[in-house]
Amino acid sequence: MRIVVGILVVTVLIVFYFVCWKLNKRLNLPEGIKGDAKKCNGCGHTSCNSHPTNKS
Amino acid sequence: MDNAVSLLTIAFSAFLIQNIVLTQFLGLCSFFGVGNKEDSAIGMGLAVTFVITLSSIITYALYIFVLEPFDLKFLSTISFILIVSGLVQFVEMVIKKYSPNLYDNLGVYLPLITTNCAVLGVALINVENIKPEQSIGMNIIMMIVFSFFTASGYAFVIYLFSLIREQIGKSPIHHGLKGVPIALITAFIMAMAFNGFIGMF
Repeated sequence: MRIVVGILVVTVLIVFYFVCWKLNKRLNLPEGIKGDAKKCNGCGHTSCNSHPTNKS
Repeated sequence: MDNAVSLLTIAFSAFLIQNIVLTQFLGLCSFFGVGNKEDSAIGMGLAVTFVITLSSIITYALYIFVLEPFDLKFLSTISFILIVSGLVQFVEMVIKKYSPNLYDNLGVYLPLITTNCAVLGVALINVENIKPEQSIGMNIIMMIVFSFFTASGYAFVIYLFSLIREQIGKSPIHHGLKGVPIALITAFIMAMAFNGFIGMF
């Protein structure tokens, strides 16, 4: 009985932690951000006319 | 009347005399990491206060209603860590939703509340200080008062520390002392000041 309760307690707590961790992750982006996220091509080009990969 | 005096003594002692940061030296990582800006310090203090108080109540209930009756005290530490981790995820979600600026300011220190030894330390001190001669209700009230005021002590000290560090940032000091060295000296002087409260009760 004691061992079963122990296993049950730890299992419930691990499930609690896993659910919180899963909820905390932003898997579904808001609608307004989805389009921008697709258009984004990284940050290779900067607004100062210099490209990090073309450094002499 | 005795109970009220006892609770007042616990509150004052937890807040100042046995301050979790400056007397027991727990939670120093976030104290030095976040205690350089006033806004971040307030946010961190509130987040830690919430997590410590809530996690203490849950861990205490788990201990007295499940772990102690079934003689599973050896599971205390692992159970408490899991509860604190889950709560921190929850707090992170709330702060991310309602205060994105604070979320950005706290940065990596927010998930690191999980590993803040002050949180686990308070939970373990609570279960060690159970007084069998008193009723469960009184023990629970004493635990809540102790946890809340210990956490408030943390918030108070990190806030004071941030104010001092902001002033130090504006002062002309030797470049060799800038950053962590002057923060350590400040913490040392604050700890000496807080040690002056010892012996009040």
